[in-house]
Amino acid sequence: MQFLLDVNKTYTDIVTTVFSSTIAMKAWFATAAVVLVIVQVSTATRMWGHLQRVIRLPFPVVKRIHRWSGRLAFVCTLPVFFHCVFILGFQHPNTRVLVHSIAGSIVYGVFAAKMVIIREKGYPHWVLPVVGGSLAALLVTLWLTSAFWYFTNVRFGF
Amino acid sequence: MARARRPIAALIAVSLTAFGLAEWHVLKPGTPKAAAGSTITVGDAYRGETVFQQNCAVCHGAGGKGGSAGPRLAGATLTLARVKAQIDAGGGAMPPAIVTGRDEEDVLAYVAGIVAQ
Repeated sequence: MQFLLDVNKTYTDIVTTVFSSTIAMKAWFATAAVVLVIVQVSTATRMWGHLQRVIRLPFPVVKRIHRWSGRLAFVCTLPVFFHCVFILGFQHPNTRVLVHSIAGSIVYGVFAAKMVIIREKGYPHWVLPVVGGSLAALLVTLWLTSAFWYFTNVRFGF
Repeated sequence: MARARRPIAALIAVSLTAFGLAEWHVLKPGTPKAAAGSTITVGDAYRGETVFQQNCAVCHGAGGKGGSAGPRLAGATLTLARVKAQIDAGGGAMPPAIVTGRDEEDVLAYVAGIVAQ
């Protein structure tokens, strides 16, 4: 048990060398992920034949941007996931936290489902946009119920 | 048909795993050492961090790292009893009972995590 407490303390020490608190770290990483999600949705829309006048980039470039923004967004969610799942846990003291906890529990499930659909061909045309859109909507919901709340109710800063 | 089940299986398996880990939350901060055996009740350190930022950080600085009016708390050698007494009675530039009730318990839980005990 002492080991676990040491992990928690070390994690907090590392985070607070850059951010004012662990919550601030979470808020900024979640914000970075949501910005990348906007890139994801935009490039995905372009790949499906829309926004061609807005995003004037060749398809291979858009595809590469889409993949790398997705990878970076996933990486940005990892420290948030670590803090939320291992330190805070599933909580439901009010509606905001309950919605956040439920969305947080299923977001990686939707991500895993999307990865399965991408790897395996042959699903109906509409499946990938629907699952990808759901994943984006979940991440935005998570951001609204955490980082946005933090920036507007506690403080806006590092 | 079996193929269509794979994404759904992945969704359910990963979501349940995440939920299980969140229910377990193995790194949940325990009762601070300074509160063990004493009558001081400590609350939720996470909520306490937010309450601290709203009520205390203006003087003690973000994360208790020192501010314009209040001393640095992060790493300071303080017992929870001393911290609670200061919150309740005030002193110096600090007004008494700046946080009370659940807010005070949560702040104590948070402060217990940043002071040197």
